[in-house]
Amino acid sequence: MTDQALKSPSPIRSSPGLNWRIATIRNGIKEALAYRGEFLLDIFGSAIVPVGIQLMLWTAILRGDPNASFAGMSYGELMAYTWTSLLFSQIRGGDLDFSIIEMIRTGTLNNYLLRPVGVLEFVYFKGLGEKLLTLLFCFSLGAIATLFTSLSLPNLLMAMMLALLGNVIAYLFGCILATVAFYWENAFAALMVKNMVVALFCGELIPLTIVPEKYSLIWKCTPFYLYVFGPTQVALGKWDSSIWLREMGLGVLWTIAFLILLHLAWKKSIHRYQGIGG
Amino acid sequence: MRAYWDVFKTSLKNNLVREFIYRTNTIALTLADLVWVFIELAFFEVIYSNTQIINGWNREQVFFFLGIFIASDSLFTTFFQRSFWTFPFMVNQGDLDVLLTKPISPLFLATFRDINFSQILNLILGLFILQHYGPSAGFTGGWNWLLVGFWVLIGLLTQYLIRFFFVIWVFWLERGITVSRLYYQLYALANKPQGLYPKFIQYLLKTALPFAFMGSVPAEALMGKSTSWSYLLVFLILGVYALTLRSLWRAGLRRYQSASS
Repeated sequence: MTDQALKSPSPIRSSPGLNWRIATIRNGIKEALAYRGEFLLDIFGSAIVPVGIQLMLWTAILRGDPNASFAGMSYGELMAYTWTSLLFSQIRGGDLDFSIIEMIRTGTLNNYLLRPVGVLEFVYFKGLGEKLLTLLFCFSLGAIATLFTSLSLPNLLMAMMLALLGNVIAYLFGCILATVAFYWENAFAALMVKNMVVALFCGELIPLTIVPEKYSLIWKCTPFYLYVFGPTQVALGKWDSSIWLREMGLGVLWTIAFLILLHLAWKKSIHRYQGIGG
Repeated sequence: MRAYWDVFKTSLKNNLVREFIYRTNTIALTLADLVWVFIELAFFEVIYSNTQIINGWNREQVFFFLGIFIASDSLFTTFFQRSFWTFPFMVNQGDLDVLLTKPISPLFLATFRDINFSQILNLILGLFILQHYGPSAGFTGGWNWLLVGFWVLIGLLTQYLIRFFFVIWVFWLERGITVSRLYYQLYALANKPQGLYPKFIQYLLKTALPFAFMGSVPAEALMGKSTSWSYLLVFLILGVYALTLRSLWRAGLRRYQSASS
């Protein structure tokens, strides 16, 4: 890497000021709205299909019997969990980390390293535009649901905050793994593994309470449950405000830990970067 | 046919060379695929740790189903997945031009150009799962292993046709990548036994979106739970799919306007 690029701002830290950040978010929103059909089709596919499968699975297991239970959860509770988790599963992640490894692989990272903005922050804010739209959409759905179900608006707000924090943690974790791209020719596999593990342990596929006790330590030791399971529990009122506060605190700790790790990983790895032809 | 075989051999050789050059990537992808299998098994392990039977499917039968599904899926991923993923970009960027000038089928060239050997281990793993859970699932083994080969190939053909159906629209859409992504979302219907779904969805999975032919129908046939009607249905549906896709492909080529020329 050139000396000039190495002396440029850290890939994580950017120049202060809100203007460029707001402009980047606005661009992200415009981009998402430019392809409205795709945006909606994506939400449909990534939300409705998994939820539909879960609903069918719970119905098959309990055969629609409202009095039957599965791992201590009644049919109604399973249904409520599945529908509510839909609101948060769309906020949790994204493919931003994949775009970072693509930048490293193809050499287009050069363009960002020479700018006075941190590339990781820039990519996050660009993706945040679309996520905020999704969040607004999901929040509206949730708000409508409060009229007909036991969901409450304060709980929904708290849950959305936890989901947004989960989104930040998910991105930071993805970025740490993306540094593998500086060493391997392609870090696609590392991110794929991460996505698969997260899908299982974030509570999107199954409520984590049904995981047998002997395995529960696995998901409790990761921050992944803060992405979907945690917000769903808050929204459903299973976690009260004291647990929410504790989990938010834990989330902040995870965020700080990942920020430090990310800083160290990028600082060490960027020296290996060769932007040939970028 | 000789020309096709030669092209296939060359493609195989080139892709193998690439896998050896990018060894770390190949090993990492192989591990990723193994994790995928582990996740699939873990999901049902968790479910069956809380119940004995779901709509007539017990744990061993579901794992047997996963064995055949993983085996046929690994073949598809090895030979076709990457090519289908890049297909929309090829059409949008005009790279299809090059293939249209060749003296053999452009479809063959387009779908056989990118082979991924990292998944081949899953074929062995799938067959091992079949062998392990087969006896307790009702699979009698012996000569029936020939039927396993047949059903794995049916699964491969099914996935090829469905995947093709989801990318062909790139000729008519601005960005076919979303429809392509929709395939992966609907694909989640394939990795669960069809018995878990309501009748309407089961019907859909055996007709319009025949994902059931990738695992459920083969597993039922191998466990002796289906009739000869299943075989007839498979050939009928896949035949209709193949003919429809042939027409769509021709219509798509007529519509294709190269961006590069």
